[in-house]
Amino acid sequence: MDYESRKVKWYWVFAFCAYCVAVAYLLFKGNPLLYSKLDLRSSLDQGEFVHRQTIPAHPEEIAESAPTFYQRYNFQRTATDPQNSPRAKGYEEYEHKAIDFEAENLDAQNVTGDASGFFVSGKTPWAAAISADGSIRWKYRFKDLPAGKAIYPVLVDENSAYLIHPMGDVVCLNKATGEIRWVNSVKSEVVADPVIWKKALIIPSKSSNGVQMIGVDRVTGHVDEDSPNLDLKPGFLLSHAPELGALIATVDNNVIALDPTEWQMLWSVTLTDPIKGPVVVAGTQLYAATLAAKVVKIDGAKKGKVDWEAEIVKPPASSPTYLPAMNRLSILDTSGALSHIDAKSGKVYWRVAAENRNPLTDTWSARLKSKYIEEYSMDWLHKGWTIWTPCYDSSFCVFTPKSGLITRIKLSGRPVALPVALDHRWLFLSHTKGSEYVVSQMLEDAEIKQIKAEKEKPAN
Amino acid sequence: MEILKANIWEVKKSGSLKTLGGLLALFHLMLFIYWSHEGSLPVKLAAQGQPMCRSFMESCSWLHLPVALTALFFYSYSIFAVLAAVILILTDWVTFGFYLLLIAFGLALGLYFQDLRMSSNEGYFILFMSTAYLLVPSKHRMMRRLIVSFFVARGLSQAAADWLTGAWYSDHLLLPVKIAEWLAAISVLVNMIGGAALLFRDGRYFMTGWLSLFLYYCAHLYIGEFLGACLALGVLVYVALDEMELRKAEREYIYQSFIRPEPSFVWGGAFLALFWAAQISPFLSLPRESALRGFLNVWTLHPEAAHEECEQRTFAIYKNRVEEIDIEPQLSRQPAMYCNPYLRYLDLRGACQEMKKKDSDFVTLSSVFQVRNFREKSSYRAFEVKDFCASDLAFKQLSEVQWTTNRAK
Repeated sequence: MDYESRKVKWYWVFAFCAYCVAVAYLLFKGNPLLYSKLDLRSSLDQGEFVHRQTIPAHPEEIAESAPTFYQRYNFQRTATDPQNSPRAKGYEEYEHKAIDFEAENLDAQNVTGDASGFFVSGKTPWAAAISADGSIRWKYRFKDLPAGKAIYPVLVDENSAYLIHPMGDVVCLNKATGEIRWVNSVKSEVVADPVIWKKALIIPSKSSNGVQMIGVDRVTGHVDEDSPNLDLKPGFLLSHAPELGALIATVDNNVIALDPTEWQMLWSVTLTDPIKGPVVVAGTQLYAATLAAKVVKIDGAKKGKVDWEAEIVKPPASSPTYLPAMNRLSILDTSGALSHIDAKSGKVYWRVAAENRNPLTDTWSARLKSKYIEEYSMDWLHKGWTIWTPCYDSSFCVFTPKSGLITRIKLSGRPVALPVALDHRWLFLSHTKGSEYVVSQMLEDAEIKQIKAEKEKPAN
Repeated sequence: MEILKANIWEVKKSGSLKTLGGLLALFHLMLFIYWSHEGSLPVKLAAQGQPMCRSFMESCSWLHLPVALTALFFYSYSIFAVLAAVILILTDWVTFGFYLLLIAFGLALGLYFQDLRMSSNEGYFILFMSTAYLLVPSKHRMMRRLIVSFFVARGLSQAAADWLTGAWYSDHLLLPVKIAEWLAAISVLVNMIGGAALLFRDGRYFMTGWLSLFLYYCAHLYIGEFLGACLALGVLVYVALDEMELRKAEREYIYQSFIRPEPSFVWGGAFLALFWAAQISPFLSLPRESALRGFLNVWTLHPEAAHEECEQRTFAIYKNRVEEIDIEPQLSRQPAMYCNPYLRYLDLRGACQEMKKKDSDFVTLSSVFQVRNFREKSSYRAFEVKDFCASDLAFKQLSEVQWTTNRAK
C-alpha cells in the first residue's frame, strides 16, 4: 500500500475487486442456497457415515445363530407347540418364584421367551432377562422413553438379545450376561414390530413416504438403508408364508403380501372389517380374525381370494390357533369363550365357555401322548393334537377337538404370555393379585413324582 | 530492556498508539469483568484441580497455579488494568502506563494459559493485540493490519455453513429464518470487505468500510454480543484516530527521525503470518492428529456461532445391569467448547468417582463420543472406550484405547 498517496492505484482496485469476488464465492460455497439449518443438516448428512457406525465400531465377532423365539411360537404365527415330543395331560406347578424387580420399573407388556427364560419390555425404559428360576439375569435401561411409547418385544437368537427402542435405537446384548455387543440406530421412528429375518433384524421405520424396512445385520450391527419405501400404514404385523415366498402384513382391514427380497407388494386384499393380530399361515392358506366376530380364510395362492368367513359370535381376542394334521382352528373371543373351526370349510364345530379372565388371550395347540388318544376317544389319524387355552382365573385348560375338557391346571398368577415350551415342561410368566410377576415351572405329574421320590431317597 | 525502550519510544511519538494502549487496558478490564461474571473463572478452575491442557501439551499441571496465588493474580490484574487505562488515557506518563499495562498483560497470560477452558476469541484477541502492542516493533503499520486481519478472519470464520444458517441471529432475535440467513450473509460481507477496506487511504473506501463495521458492531452490541462488539468498536476508534494522525503526519512529516528511523516490519510481518497460518489451517487438509495442526489450533479463532454438533453415548455398567445415561458437565462449558473431547473426558472421570461412591454395584462407564464439525463436513469418533474408570487411563491414550481392547470387568 502506498502511504504517500491517497489515490488508489488501479492494481489495488483490481485486487480489491478480486478479493470481493472471492468473498462472494466463499459465501455461496458455505451455504449455496441459503438453506435453513435443518435442510442444510440433511444435505450435509449425505455421505455422512460416522453416525451410522456401530458402538463399538468393530463389534466382537460372534457366530451366526438361529432365532429362538417367535411370537406365537413360529413365524407362521400358528401357535403350535414347537416341541416335537407329545405331552402328558396332567401338569402341576412344581415351583414358582416372584421376580425381584421394582414394580414401577417393570412393565411386562411385551414378553418373549426361550429356553433361557423370559425377556420383558414395555412402557418403562427398562428391559430385563429373567431366568427360568425367576432371578433377574440382567437389566438394561434406555436413557428415556417418549410418553405413550413402549420398548418393542425383545428379539432373541441363540447368542444375543436385541432391544429396540421406538425412536430407532437398537442394542444387541449378550443373551446370557447382558454385556453390550453393539449399539446402533436406524435414526428414525420404528412404526411396527421388528422381526428377525435371515441374517438381519428387519426394523420397519418411518420414512418420508411410507415405511422403510431397514435391515440391521445381527452379527455386525451394520445398518442397510437401501431397502425401498413401502406404502404401508404403521402398526402392521408380519407373518411368514414360506410356500408363497412372501411375508404377509396385516394392518387395519388389509392383508398385504410382500416380496421379502425386493420389498415390493405382491398383492393385497381389503377385508370388510379390521383384523385382530397377525394372519396365521398354513401352507398357502391364510387365516385372519376380524373384529366383526369372523374368522376369514384367504387363499394366498390366488392373490388373496377370500374362500370363506366363519361367524364366532363375539369379536376375537387374538388370532386363531392352527391344529396341524386335523386342519382346524381354535380361537378365544372377548367373552372368554373358545370356538373350534374347520379350517377347510369354515364350519364352526363348537363353542364352549372357557371363562378366560387372564391377560393371555392366545390359545395354543400341542400333542398329547398316545395313551390319551385312546382314553379320550380321539382320532389316531390326527396324532393327538389338542387345544390348550388360558381359562377361568389363573388357570389353563386342555380341550380335545371334540370339545371335551380334559383338564384344568392352576397357576399362581394370571398368565400374561404364551408359555415357553420346554421338553415336557411349560414355563409361565404370570401376574399375581398382589401385583407381582412370578415365573412358574409346570412339570408333568410323573416328573414331579420322580423328583419327590428322589428327594425322599436320601432321607430314607 | 532495549526492546521495551524502543516500543515505548514508538508509543510516545504517536497519540493514537497511546490511546490504543489505554483501550487495550480497558479491554483487559472488560475481560476481568467477563471472568468475574462467570464466577471468577480462573479461581474456580484452579479450585477444581483438574486442568484442561492444550492439545500440544503432554501435561499442564506445571501451569496450574495454587488457588490463593490465582486469586491474587486475578484481583491484581484488575487493579493494574484500571491504573494502566487511567494513566494512558488521561495523563502523559506513557512509560509508567506502558509498564502497568505490561504487568497486567503478564498476569492475564498467567491466568489465561493455566487452563484451556479460559480460552475465548475475545481473550485471544486481547492478548494477541497486547503482545503486538507491547513487544513487536513497527506497531504503527502492524496494528492496523492486525486489526484488519481480525475482522477478515472473523468474516472468513463466518463464511461457513454453521454461521450462514442464521442460527445465531435466530437465537438472539425473533426473526423469520430467511431474514436471519441474510443477516448472516451480510455479516460475512461486512467483516471481510469492510475490514479489508480499512487498509485503503482513499477516504471513500476507508469511510465506507469503517462506517459499515461501526454500524454492524453497534447492532451486535444492541443484540447482546457485549464483549466482542465492545472490542471491535474500541479498535475502530483507534483505526479512526490512526487515520487522522497519518493524514496529519503526511502534512507535517513528524515521523522523519534520523536518531530512530522507522523500525523494521520483519517481526510484525512474522506475527501476522503466524496469525494467518492459524486461521487458514482449518481449511487445509492437515491430519487431525498432526503436531502442526495441534500447534496452529492454539492460534486459531474459535468457529463462529459454534454449531459444532456432537453425540455422546455413555453406558453405566453395574454388576447386574446396564443403564444408558447422560453425563452432567462438571463445569458449564462455553459454546465453543461444548464438543471438546478433553472436557468430556474430564466429565467422565469425575462421574466415575461420583458413581463409585454412590453405588457399590457400579463397575465402570463405557462411552463413545463423536463430533460433527461443519467445516469438515463429516464426524469423527473422538473416543470409544469400554472401561473409562480404569485408573491408568489418560486423555492422550483415548485414541488408542478401543472398546474391544479395554474390557469392562
